[in-house]
Amino acid sequence: MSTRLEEKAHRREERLEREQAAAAAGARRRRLLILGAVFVSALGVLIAGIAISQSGSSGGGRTSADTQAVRTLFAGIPQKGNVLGKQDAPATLVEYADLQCPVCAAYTSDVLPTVLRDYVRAGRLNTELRLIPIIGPDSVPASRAAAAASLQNRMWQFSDLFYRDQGVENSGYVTDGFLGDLARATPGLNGSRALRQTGSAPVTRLVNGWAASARAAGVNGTPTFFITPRGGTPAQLSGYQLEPGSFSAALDSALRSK
Amino acid sequence: MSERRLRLLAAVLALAGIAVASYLTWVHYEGIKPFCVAGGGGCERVQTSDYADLAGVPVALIGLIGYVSILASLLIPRDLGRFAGAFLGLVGFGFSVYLTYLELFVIDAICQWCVASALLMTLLMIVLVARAARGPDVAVRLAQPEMLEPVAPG
Repeated sequence: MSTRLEEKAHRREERLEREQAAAAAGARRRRLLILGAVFVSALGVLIAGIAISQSGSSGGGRTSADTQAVRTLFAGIPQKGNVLGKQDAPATLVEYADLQCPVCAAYTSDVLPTVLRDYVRAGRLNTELRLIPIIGPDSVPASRAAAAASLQNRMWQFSDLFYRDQGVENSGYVTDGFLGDLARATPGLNGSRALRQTGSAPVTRLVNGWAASARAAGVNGTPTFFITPRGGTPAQLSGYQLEPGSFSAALDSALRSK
Repeated sequence: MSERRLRLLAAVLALAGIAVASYLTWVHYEGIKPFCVAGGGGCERVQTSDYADLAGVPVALIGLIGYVSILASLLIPRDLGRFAGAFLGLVGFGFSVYLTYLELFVIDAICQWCVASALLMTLLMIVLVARAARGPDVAVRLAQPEMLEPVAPG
């Protein structure tokens, strides 16, 4: 009797165990199915995100990332007019440039960050940008807009953004719209005020002054660099290539011989 | 590992992620250079690259939002919270893989902070997916048949 009862109880226990195992397996299957759906939807969101990221970064042109890069490059460096760096630095690196000039753009993207880090931020130099319209008609409004930005002490940021968006030389791309976009994207610049001032007397004085000093120094190409010790006479920088190591070596040598 | 431990581990990882992403977001908006242990300016290059924004929103801020959302998902009870956490972990992990690919092969610079975030996100994904796959603690599951016990004959 007791054996039959025990058997019955045993069978019941087994049945319960089987049912429990089946229920657990079912629950597990359901759980994995939901997890699969979660995985697929996560993949969908991811693909959409990557597509947005790719569309934002392709196609060239100026992006908010350029603005951010420019903000970072010049962050914390004093700027007054067209001079970047401490006003009382022991020497000045004068750069004659044309915003349409691709070599000037290469200097700004490849060498300037090192010059800023090792010389300007370190207080060994300040650097002055003098724009001369040497390449052609499009250079003139470009220089004037940068000069207007210098009235707000943002010439270096504006010029850097211009270089990043350089078009085909003298193709007529330097329009008011183009300059307006750049001015608005320049960190810290009141763009509309700068645009209003491009034809003003102070801007004319600045660009004429730069052109006159270039003529006096015999500058006939861009970029051309001079090192001027404080209170001394300018000496043209030579024997360098447009890469940070070579340019730094030329700067060191010029600074030693001053 | 118990549900409680997995949740706690996920919370710790998410908090570490919040710390890293907060720092990078701050650096982004302040326009300063991120502190790099080995120097080299990799972080700066990554942070100022074309890929530092996603539709105008800094990637660092997206990361911060992601970590905060994961932390919030840990507060949602039962399976809803578990699956929401796994979803966020998977998206975050996939995005970290994409960003690391960009660093290595497109931007050509490695940012230590981004690597740290990618590692945290990978660990988070593992923990969150494991938590969702495993479900509630066994003790809780056994509690249900026991609750039916009085109905069964003695």
